[in-house]
Amino acid sequence: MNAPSTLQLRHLLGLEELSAEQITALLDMAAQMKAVNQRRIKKLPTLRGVTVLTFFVENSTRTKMSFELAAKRLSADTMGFSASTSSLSKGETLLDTARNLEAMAPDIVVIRHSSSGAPRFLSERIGCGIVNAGDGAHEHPTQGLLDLYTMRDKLGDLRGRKVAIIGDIAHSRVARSNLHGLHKLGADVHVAGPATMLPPGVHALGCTVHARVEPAIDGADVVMMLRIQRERQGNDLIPHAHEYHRFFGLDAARLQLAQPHALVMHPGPMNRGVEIAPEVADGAQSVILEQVENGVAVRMAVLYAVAATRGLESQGA
Amino acid sequence: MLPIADNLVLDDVDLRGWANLPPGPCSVLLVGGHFAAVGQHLDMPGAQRVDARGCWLTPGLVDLCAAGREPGQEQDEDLLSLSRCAAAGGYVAVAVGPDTQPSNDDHAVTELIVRRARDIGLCDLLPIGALTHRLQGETLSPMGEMTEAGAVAFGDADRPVRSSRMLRRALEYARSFDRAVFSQPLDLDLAGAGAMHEGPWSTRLGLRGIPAAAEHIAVARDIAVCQLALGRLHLQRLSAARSVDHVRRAKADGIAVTAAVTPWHLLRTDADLRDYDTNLRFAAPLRAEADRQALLAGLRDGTIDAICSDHQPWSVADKEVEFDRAQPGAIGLQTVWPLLCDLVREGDLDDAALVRATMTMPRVILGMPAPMLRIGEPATFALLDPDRPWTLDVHSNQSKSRNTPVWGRPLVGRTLLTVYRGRVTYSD
Repeated sequence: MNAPSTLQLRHLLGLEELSAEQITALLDMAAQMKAVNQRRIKKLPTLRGVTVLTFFVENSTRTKMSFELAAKRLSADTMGFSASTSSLSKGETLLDTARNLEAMAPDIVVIRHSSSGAPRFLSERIGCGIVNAGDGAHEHPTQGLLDLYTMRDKLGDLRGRKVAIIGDIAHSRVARSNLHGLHKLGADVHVAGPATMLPPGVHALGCTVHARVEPAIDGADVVMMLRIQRERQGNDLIPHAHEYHRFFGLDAARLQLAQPHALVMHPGPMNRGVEIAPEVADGAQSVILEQVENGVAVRMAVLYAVAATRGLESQGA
Repeated sequence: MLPIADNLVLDDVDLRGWANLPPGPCSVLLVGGHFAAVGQHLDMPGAQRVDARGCWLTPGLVDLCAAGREPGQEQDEDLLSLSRCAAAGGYVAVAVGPDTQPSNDDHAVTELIVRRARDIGLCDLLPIGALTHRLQGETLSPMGEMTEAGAVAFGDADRPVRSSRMLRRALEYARSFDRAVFSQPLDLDLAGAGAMHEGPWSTRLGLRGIPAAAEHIAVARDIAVCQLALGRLHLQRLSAARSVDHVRRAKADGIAVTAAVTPWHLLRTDADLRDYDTNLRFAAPLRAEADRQALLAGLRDGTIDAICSDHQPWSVADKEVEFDRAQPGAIGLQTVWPLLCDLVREGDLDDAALVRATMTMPRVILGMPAPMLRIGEPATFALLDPDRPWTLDVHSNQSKSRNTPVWGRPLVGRTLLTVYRGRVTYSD
């Protein structure tokens, strides 16, 4: 497997920094990785001897597992490090923790952090490749890539396709990464949600903004529902989950407004009956589980691209 | 360091900022640290002559807002290192904030600062006393005793006074001692946990925003309360366009309000945060280009009275962290002059506004006498070169901290010589 020359990727900090060509090349590579994942022996020797460290300062089970699985399928050695077990909970600064990690010489660090800009902070201070697994409300580039992959897989070329992203845009890194990626690939992006969840100037990221969901869903090729973070402290954005579901949730009636072939997507974990009705989540148009499957392939492609850019892939692989 | 002879003639130097002399070039003779003569062709056998063409001979800059960190946080700065920063920046007087540990809410702390300033002897250090006990906004501080001890004004540093009733009482009580109240206007509820200006850039960067309204609502409230209390209000650091409008109108209504701004807010905007540089995080956040332009316009028409250094030293542990966890503020005393020279070169500010905002009005706000160049008296002045390039680095930095967005970057405009009460406190 060879990385195309367009795919110089020392770090993956966000989709904002990538060109359309780089995104397309990553998606193409993910397609090859997906084929590997469908074999009986789901393993390539490509990253033998490469150490991938997952450094999750904010809780996440599925993203961490997806990255670890991706690394293992490329034969990399993986090591996990999370906030609850780490020295960060004992008052050590991110910089000190990072220097300690670096002293153990990992090749790639996959970081999830509650502060926007934290992966970039690390990339400027330690030598290994940094892959952003979600930073604050900034970006979640591998989620964005797996969403793009799933859309492209089902719909083909995304140019001119209408994509509706619905929910808490203000606090969503998934929304930002999708906005950057979809804009670069030429999609017609619409965001919608209660106005409390629409951040100022979001149209500057290349989308049309609606304070009600119906015009966004109308004629859409993709309807992506975002998770309502009910656990968020001081959540004064909506009155309660029931009202949210009535006015902003995706149920069968609202989905009728979209194209008959429209895809229903969700980055998970879902609040059934809040942002999405169970019959829609489990319905024929839902590709939610395929998103999860594609996530592993996309993360394999990202790890491979970063390792290859750094000259780490094993010879003859 | 330039050796300073006992007898020194500064030839063709530009006089700026003196209350008793018009601006313009002339020669100045100094003998033993005293002004000896001002004229056109001064002759003094044996005197050291310095061709000071293009340089400004000023009464020295005066700062309205700096954190001395002593007592309590001497690892980041102390009053000696602060004084050295001041002298190197061309300052002869610095108002030091009450946000020390313990806070300056008691005459004992005020006396400590005054005594340290006298012992150090590099510039005036003028204590700003706390407005309320522990800066908590709940109980008045003993302003009478602190005034006796040397407090020149009262304020709670970065912390806005949440209660309008408390602010009213504080403005009234400070009036009894003829002191201004220094306020940092911010509606804390609206500001929330914001880390930067709320706008397209906070959306893009995924950082929580502080809307401009969080400031200008508080400016409007502070002005209304000031009018009610018949007090004297100084707004420490403005960042939003609408705030400038409110101050302009208040001044037209005859309300005793003054306002200041930092050089950063005149030069930078929220777009400069694209790299998450924590040295550009400020308590009053950098805002949009329209705000920057409004601040400049306010400065030009005198709505904004002063430019303050907002010198805020922080250690690496407080700044080399995630953006939303970083302490706000940058060191600033040494870079006000070059940064403002940039604004003059770009045509955003004229010489007269620069003098007014850094020399004249800070003295007025702090109740200091207008600066006079008097023959026979010990000299206090700063000789400033608008065109000399330099770099703030480990050699030139006088602070114990190095948190500034211009660290290691080329600067143009430098202090050549600072003299305080007849003693050289800095020479380049």
